[in-house]
Amino acid sequence: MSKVLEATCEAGVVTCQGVPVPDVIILSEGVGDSTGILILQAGKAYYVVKGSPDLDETLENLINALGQIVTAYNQAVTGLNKAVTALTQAGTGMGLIDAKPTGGSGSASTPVAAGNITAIGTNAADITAAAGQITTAANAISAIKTDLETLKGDLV
Amino acid sequence: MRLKVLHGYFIFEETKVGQISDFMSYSGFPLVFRDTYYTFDFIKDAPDYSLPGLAMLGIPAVKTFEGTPWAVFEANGFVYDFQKNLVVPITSITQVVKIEQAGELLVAPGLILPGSLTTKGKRVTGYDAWFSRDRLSWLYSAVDYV
Repeated sequence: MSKVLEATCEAGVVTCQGVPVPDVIILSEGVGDSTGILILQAGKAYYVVKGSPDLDETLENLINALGQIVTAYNQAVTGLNKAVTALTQAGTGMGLIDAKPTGGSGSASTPVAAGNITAIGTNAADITAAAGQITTAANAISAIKTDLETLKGDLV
Repeated sequence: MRLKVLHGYFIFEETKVGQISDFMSYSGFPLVFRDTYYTFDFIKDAPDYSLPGLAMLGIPAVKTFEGTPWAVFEANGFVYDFQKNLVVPITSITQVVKIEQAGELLVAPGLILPGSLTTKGKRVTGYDAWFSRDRLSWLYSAVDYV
């Protein structure tokens, strides 16, 4: 049978109902004062902090940082998609220029830019693939952020 | 009516309906119901834990402990003094009681105060007793010492 009581801890001294409790085994320590619970079991006393202010703040900062990363990733993906669109449009335009002139006699030489037009298409595809990978990473970070928010809520 | 005293904590139990109220009328002792038994009003809120320095029924506890009220009493060395209506350290009791064998039972003058010293120097910590309404006296089936 255990007894659980509300307690506080200041400078390593656990206090319960106004009296300092001797020989307490503190199971969780932080650098700041805390509120927690005192567990009496088999003649011994144990203190467990309810929610470490340091851990709580650290989790909050981490969640915010991850949120900013996800936002940045999403913005990067948006930018890359715009770049792909622009490149595609440029490639289409250059493709029109690339068309060999018609009419007349003889054959026109291949425009110099033909190879570049092909490269534009390849680069656009590569950028699209990169944007997809960034989106995957952003989704993974969002999932981690959600888990940390749940953990933070459990610590309160 | 049966009375069990465990480490200075009193537990009254009815074996027939009406015994408790009859006893209270006869003795004048205020008994109240707690959990599954009756006890003295003063110790009805005896805690199931103790912390050194924390007041426990008017006296600072000396041990960190959790358990039944009588186990807490034992851990802290306290008894209920029904004569003074106080919880006191068992070692503060100086009363001497003469306990004699009467057949299979034990007899003593009146209700034994927990902590009392016997003529042989033993200190009483508890007992098992029955109240005889006919004799208006207590009959002890067992006495515990420390």
